[in-house]
Amino acid sequence: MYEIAWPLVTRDAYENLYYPQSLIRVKHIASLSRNSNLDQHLTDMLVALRCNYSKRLGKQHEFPLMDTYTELSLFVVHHELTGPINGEQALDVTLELFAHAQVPESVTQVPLSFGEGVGLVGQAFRNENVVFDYSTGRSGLYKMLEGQTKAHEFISAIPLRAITSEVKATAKSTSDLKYAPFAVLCVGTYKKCSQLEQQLRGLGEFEVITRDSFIDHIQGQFSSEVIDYLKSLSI
Amino acid sequence: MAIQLNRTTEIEPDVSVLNFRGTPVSATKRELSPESLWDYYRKFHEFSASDSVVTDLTKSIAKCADD
Repeated sequence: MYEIAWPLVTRDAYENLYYPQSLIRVKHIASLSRNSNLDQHLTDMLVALRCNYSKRLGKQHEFPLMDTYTELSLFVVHHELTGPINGEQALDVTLELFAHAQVPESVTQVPLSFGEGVGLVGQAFRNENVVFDYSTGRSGLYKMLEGQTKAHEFISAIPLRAITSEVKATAKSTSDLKYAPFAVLCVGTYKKCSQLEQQLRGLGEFEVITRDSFIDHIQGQFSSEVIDYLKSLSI
Repeated sequence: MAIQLNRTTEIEPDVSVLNFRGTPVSATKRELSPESLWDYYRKFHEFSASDSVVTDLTKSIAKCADD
């Protein structure tokens, strides 16, 4: 059962959802400001990722998942204190575009941000689910941007979590706690019948193998590399 | 024991979400390159014909998840 979710939680409730160390990491990242060095470093990581997936992953992997028409965008969480609302401090959570591996059809609107829960990016972040949209702009979640004339044929939004290793030592019961999300990676294409769409949506054995291993790599190694870089930056 | 191939749920026409993604990627899997991860899953699916092998693999993966 899936519910479209919106960020209707108080700041205290938000802080009780996640492992403390994970949340500390996310708060640090959420206070970072963009600059040209940061943008370039993250963009290089996206381009390297596209390059890695533009080749076959094994002898039995027939076609590469990505090509030069695959667009990658990294949205990073940003916190802004607002309020108070009804006497309580409120936290405005948005996802800001930090890096973009473009394709010819890309819209280069900067700054670009989505509120938590808004659009595919906001939903993937809020629900911490991988979201696929193949509606070519007709769905209620897909947002056309100013200046955008063509919708993606396929786009996926993958949330990245701040995984930490020290949580088992936490005194408080951690059974209901989660790792806090800190970013969303969007991978999409404007091309019809792309390998990206066929392999991420397909139900055949090799499609499922590619999809599962790709999501694990993004939420695992790639996510770790991004967070290691971001946490090394000073505010 | 059959492996569930379709783990996506359609939430509105032409939009779907991938299920069972609430657990973090294990430390072991975070060390693997895209090629190694693909090979890891390929082997898992090859073994899926045998229940006993799947059971053993499931235990191994559960152990990895605890890392």
